[in-house]
Order: sequence, then structure tokens, then C-alpha cells
Amino acid sequence: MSLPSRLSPLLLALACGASTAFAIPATKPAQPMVVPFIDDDYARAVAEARARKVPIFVEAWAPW
Amino acid sequence: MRAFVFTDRALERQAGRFVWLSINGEKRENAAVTKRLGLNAYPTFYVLDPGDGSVALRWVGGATTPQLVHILDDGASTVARRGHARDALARADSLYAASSYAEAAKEYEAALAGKPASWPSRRRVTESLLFALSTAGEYERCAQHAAEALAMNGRGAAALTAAANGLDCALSLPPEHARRKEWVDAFEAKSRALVADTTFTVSADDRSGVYITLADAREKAGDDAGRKKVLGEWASFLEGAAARAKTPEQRSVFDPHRLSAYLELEQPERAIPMLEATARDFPDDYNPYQRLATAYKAMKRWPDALAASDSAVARAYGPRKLLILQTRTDIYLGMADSTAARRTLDEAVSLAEGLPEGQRSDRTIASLRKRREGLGASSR
Repeated sequence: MSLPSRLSPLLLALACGASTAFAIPATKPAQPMVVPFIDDDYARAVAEARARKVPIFVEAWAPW
Repeated sequence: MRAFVFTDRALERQAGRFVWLSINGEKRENAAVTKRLGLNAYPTFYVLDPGDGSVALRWVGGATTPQLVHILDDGASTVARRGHARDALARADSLYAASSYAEAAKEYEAALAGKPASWPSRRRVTESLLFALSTAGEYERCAQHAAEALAMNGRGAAALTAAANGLDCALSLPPEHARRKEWVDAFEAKSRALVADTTFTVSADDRSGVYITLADAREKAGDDAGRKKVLGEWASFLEGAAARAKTPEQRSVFDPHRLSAYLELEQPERAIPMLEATARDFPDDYNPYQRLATAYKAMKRWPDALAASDSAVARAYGPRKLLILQTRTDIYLGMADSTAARRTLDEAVSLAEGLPEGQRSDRTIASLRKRREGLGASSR
């Protein structure tokens, strides 16, 4: 069977293009996010976190 | 997650506790960050210490809103305890964040020891422990811990994930292992009973994954009829979840698992209407076109597959384009056009070699080169 198992295949996601996770549409959801995400700007997030003295939450995702 | 969790009003009270950063790992400009974070799966969530940017907690895979709140609480707590004497849980999370799974598992075991069944972090820590043990190839300990977790709590979402993770690990044990059959039978029965139980909340992602494991268990038992039955139930579950979606975004998140279910059932034609709908709803997205190409390929409708692949290639970027080009190669081979297949693989090798560090994979490059060599030299 070509289906991945549930645990280890996640780790192979970048290498072989397989993933057990659900896809995310490439377009932003129509419903608004309830937390204020900074998109693709690590330096800005670090600067803000240091200024506010709060941790950074990172969502690493792919549009597939 | 984006369609269901990060739009959940229950998260509003968390907004001020963190700086929230979203990283699309497929974008070239994010390659340095993904390398720094050690990203190797989607989705992955991190809580970073603002002082030095180090990873305090890492979570691989999806989560429900309550699960995410636990992750946030534990991550914030770990950051707050930095600089003080660190307990086993903080050490475990740091080791796990660094992908040191065997060492992390020992610390998670120490963190769990003596904690009451009602410990708020129990589910998160147990799932991390089972993942760490499975990834480290420690299948016996994984199954043992899953059995202990079920003995402590045999109901609800925590039991479902423990049973399914335990089943995964038990299936990976060698056939001669003394407890393999006992564990497989028990975990499979428990997974089957809980996967169809809708009286508790579990992420659709997790529930779908349980069906995958159950189908795997039937296949390893040599029970093709049983496997097909599970796959049919999986497809029905996904179709029900998609039908209940409130937005096109929510509906389309089920597309990849639905396509996998239909392919496994050898009914790829069932995927076409949903993928055409997603392509209409998200015209800039390469995913529905790539999935259409895959479905048409399985149906041996080569011109339709190639047309869908054209649309996917035109919209694709980043490492995912490699998979799209490999599907395209398959389509050309199906059309007996080996010249175009070789050209497509040459393009894929070139693209793979040109990806930035953090996205480039030596293993992928070697695999593509091997496949290209297998097709022989270009004819002039």
C-alpha cells in the first residue's frame, strides 16, 4: 500500500513530498485569523518579541 | 489548522501572550529560517525563547484548539523557566526540539513518572513520547507506553491517539516478537472502537490518520476485504467532514486524504468533481491541478493528466515542484514519450540542485538522478 503510516512519514515530508497532514489552500482563508500572524518575517518577529518580552509562536506550513 | 483552529474565537485570549509568526516553508526567502528551526515536516509548531531565538518546544502535526492551548501553555512555561534549574519536561522538550528523540524519550519518561492521571500536560507529553520512541525505532517501548496510557484512560481523544500510535508501533515490531500479536489485536480493536465514536472531539487530521493505520493493519494481516472495508469507511468519514465544512477553504483541506482514499480504493474518478470545485475556488493554487493530474494518471486519461499538469507546473514553486515534475514524468511515460520524460526529469534535477540550503535535499537529488539515469541518454 502506498499510504504512509501515521508517525514517521511526517518526518519525510520535505524529502519525498509525502505527508499525512491535511492541505492548506494557497489562498488565505476567508475567515479572519484571530491571532495577529506576521507572515514570513522572522527578523521582525524576533524584534517584536524582544521588545515585548514574550515568546514567539511559529507556524511552519506548506501550501499543500 | 488555518481553516479550523487559527480562526477559532477561543484563541483570542492567547493573542497577547506571543508574537505570532507564520512561515511558508516552500518560499525561497524562508530557507535560512527553516534550516535554523530544523523543519522537516508540515505542519510544525514552535515556541521560541525571545532572548536567543532558541526552540523551547516543538510540536509536529495538527492539533485541535484545546491541544494548541496546551502547547502554548507548556511552551510559555518552558521559556519562563529558562535560566533556572530545569526539570525533566523542559529538558525533554529541548531535546525533542533538537530532534534528539532517544534522549528526549528518556526525559519524557522521567517527566511522566509519578504524575497523576489528571496532569494537564499528560496527553501532550504522552504523544510527544510516543512520537519520539517511534521515530527512534523504539517500537517495544512505544507500544508499552501506549498500553499504559490506555490503561490509565481508555476513553476520548487521548485514548484514540494512544491506541493508534500504539498500533503503529506494534505493527513495526518483528513478527517473532512475543507480544506483537497481543498488542496489535488490542490496539486495533481499541482504535476501531474509538475512531467511529463522535462523542468526543479530535482533529479530523488525527481521526483520518487512524483510518490509515487501521488499513495498514488489515493489509499486514493479509485481509484485503477488511482493508477495503476500512478504506471505504475512511472515504465516507472524509466525505462527511467535507460536506460539513462551512467554507471552501475548510472543504478543500480534506482533498489530499480523499484523493489517497479513492486511489487506494482504485476509484480515482471519485476525486474529479471535488478537485474541479477546488480549482474553481482557488484558481491560483497548484494543488488541485496536481491532484487532478494524479487522478487522471491513475485513470490513464493521459491528455487530461498532461493538461492538469501544465496548470500545476505553471503555478508551482519551491520543493513541491519536484513532485509535480515527477508526476509529469510518469504521465509522459504513460504516453510512451520517453524523450519528454527525460527532459522533464532533467528539469527536476536542475531545479533540485538549485534550491537554497534548507530546502535542498541530497537524498532527493540522488533519487532524481538515479531515476533519470534509468531512462537512458537523451536521443539527438
